[in-house]
Amino acid sequence: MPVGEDVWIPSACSMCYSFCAIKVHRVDGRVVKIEGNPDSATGQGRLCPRGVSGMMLLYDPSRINAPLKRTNPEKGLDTDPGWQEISWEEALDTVSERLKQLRAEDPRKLLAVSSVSFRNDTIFPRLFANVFGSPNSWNSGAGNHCGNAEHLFGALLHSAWCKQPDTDYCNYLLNFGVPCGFGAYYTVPGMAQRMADARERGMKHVVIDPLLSPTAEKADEWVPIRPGTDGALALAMLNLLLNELKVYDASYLKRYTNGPYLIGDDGYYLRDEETGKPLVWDAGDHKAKPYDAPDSEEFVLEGEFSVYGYRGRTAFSLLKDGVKKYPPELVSQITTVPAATIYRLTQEFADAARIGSTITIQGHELPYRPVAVLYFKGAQGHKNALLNAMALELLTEMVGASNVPGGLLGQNSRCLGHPEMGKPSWSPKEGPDGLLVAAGGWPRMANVYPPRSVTPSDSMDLKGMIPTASGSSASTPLVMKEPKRFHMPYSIEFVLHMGANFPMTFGDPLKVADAFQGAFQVSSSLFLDEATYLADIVLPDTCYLERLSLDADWVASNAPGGEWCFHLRQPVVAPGGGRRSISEVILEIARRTGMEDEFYSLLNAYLDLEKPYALEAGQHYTWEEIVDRHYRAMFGDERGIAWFKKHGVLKWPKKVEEVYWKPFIKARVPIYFEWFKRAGEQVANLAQELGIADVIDTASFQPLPHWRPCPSYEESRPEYDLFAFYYRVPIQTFSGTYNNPWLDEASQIDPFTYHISINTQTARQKGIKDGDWVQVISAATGHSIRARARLTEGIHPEAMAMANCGGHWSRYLPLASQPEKGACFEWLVPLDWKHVDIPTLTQDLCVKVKVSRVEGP
Amino acid sequence: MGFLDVAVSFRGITRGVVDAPQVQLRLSPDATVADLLHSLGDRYGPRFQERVFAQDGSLQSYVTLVVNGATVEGSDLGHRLAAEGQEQVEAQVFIFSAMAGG
Ligand code: SF4
Repeated sequence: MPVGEDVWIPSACSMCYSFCAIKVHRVDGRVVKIEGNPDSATGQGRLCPRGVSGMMLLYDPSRINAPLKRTNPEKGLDTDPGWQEISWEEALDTVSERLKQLRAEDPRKLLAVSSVSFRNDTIFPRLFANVFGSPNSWNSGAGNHCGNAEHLFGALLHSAWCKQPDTDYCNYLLNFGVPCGFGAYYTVPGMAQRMADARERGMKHVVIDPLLSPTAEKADEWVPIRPGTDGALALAMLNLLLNELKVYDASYLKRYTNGPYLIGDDGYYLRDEETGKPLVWDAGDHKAKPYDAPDSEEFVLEGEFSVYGYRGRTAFSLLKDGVKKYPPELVSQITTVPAATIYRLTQEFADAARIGSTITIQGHELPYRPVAVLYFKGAQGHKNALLNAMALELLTEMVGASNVPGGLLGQNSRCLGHPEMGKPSWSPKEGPDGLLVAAGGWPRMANVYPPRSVTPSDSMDLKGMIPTASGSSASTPLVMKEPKRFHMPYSIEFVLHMGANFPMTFGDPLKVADAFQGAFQVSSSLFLDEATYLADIVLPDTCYLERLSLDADWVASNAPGGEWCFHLRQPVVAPGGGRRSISEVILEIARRTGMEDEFYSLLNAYLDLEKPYALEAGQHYTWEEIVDRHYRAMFGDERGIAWFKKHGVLKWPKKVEEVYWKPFIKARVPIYFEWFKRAGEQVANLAQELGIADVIDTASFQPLPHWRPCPSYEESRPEYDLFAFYYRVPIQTFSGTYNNPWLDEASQIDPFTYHISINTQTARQKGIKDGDWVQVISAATGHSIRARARLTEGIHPEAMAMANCGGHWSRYLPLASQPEKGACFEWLVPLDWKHVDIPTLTQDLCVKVKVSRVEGP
Repeated sequence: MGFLDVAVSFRGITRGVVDAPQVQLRLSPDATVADLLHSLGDRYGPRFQERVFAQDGSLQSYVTLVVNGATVEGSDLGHRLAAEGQEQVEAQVFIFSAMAGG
């Protein structure tokens, strides 16, 4: 240990996927403090409580320090595996031999499981699965974590993975339950500062949420809503905007959307006989023309016309008519939001949009639409995910507030590269039918437009069959359980698992465990958490303070405006015990299984490594060399990891045409999702053919939004009278941080992390007092959980709610698994096809429960 | 009029839709990326075609083609495989599995 050492080392946090820049204070070889790096534009020098507490993860005595193998052949969620320490040599030999055999049999039998929480490092095992020859990788977040439908529309409308309000200019933010800038969501501390600045500037923030959350309590207004009905509220607002107030941005809709496209009575575009392009109606010439006809300026946005003897109505007219079904008075009964409030919010939104106004920024005169609508998991994590999300997105589109100053910004939709190198670089573009094709991270993930072919899926996530599915898939454990039923010619026999505590993130833990039980599981993990109860071999992983990451940024970690900022995540201390970074372990396994050259060529393609940075066959590269090449390929020879180790961050100003890219890109976005309809028909036919039509519900493949209640709304037993939902707290990340003593201390002080929140009046009717133990039984799973009740006026009277993923039970997490450390919501969530939104493969989190007072834990 | 010999290697899950890790093709000297992929599509049938092309015939964004060490832009189906006078080309086809999610 170096005596007298006292240094601050720049790196990047990985306690969640915001990846804030940090400075780590190391004294005599030990980390003594972590602070935000003020040089970084991403976090602006701020950290959240989790970021500050990272050193307690580093020095947690419960961390794993040596490879382990199970001695108990019986697997179960509460069956002790009987761990026995083994050498790295034995562990790697066993794993490599099994993998070699598996690859020879059928490489598809491998599944890589990971989580978004350590995103950049989990890419590596997934790439390994890819080169191995398996299409199966799964981020286990479709339950609690993944934005699913939100990501789909992020691609289709914003060329982005997620969205943020333009806090520099937005004046009115309608926020459907997103903790943006208040402890979760993306770019957390950076957005916290930006939201605070926007509030000080005068931005009105209205939060629609069943819970008076940390976000809602700091807003101008909290509008309580019945869980799962946000989409219905958006439909009523669309109805008012289009049919009563008649406030919409007609010139935006004509120029930048498919609003003027003519739709036949069969629901499909009317197409030009010669070019096959969708037709629009030219008011000047009184005839139909392809949408991109050069001699046409006057497209009609509304109306009904006759083309080739067929009736054609504009997409916009169909939307406008369609939402008439949702008058505020009716929607008030669905949502419990008073009709007068719906009228008022819509009027405020319409007024604030300032349709027709412009603003000049850096010499560019741009549309100025200072309103945004934000939503994420809460609004769309339902059976009706696709159509809820569609309705919410269309509010922003109707007023033209998409990717222009003041509006809703795709989080880094466009990058024109570093001024010297021109890298990294991506840009949305025009695709078939004039519609937007997403760029950024999308092309290498699961891009959704142009539509993928509908084919029998060869992967457990069914993405080959469902072309609209973009995020984490709810189908993986369901298909794993019955592969033959889905015509999979193989089953999962090997699970390569890293950083995802999947029994605590994905619905009924017993059913999840049941799906995984038969596979040989190798887990690279920090702790012996619940997921490792199913493992056969556990490899001790390094935490973010001990490892070098492939990179420390992604499209959703850079702030939406201001400056581009790139970082390095470097080891601040040497790995403790016998820990090894999963990325280095994967390289070693690739070597031992004879896949090294193939792996290099895949990395070259994935990371865009070309000569002289490309990894060459026949060579052996260290992990550090690979990361260095990645940085130098992007930023030039002088800016390899040595440069980043010293300087910490590389930043440059964002251009107007990157942040407010819409007026600069010739591509329309859909407000009528014609291809969803076609996809639905194709999926239905295929499901019929495969004999799985009983579980593949295609009713939501609609081109326009409409309201469909969740199955929980059918629950008629009177004792199951409350809707249960979960929320995210700023103090914990999913199920990964509950063993951290500092966060535990903060969670004890916070009234909503470890307790179950119930409305005061509702609780009184049930004889429940503040602090009483309560039992919650799920109508859907029959499982129950227990925790203390926290009575609050700040929750919808028909709901109960709880935080993230507490209620651990692993006996190897001595702090997290104590009583009174919260409860695990997943016990309440059913894992079955009835509760999956098929178009987005989203798991429905809407559960009816019975809550009663009990004596103790 | 000569020929262009193209050595194609399939990487990762692409190998699940073809029958060998490598194949040798002979194309015309001015062959494009589209010519190569269609020729592979003819050889390997609908399964390959459906994975590589979107419904409208454009290249799926998760398919990457590397020709002589340089990545070809997905939209650039008209890109010529070889420079004037070049007689041999090495190409690698990658299909990336869906890797998105929370
Ligand atoms: S927001 Fe996430 S990345 Fe940033 S400090 Fe907190 S835990 Fe770390």
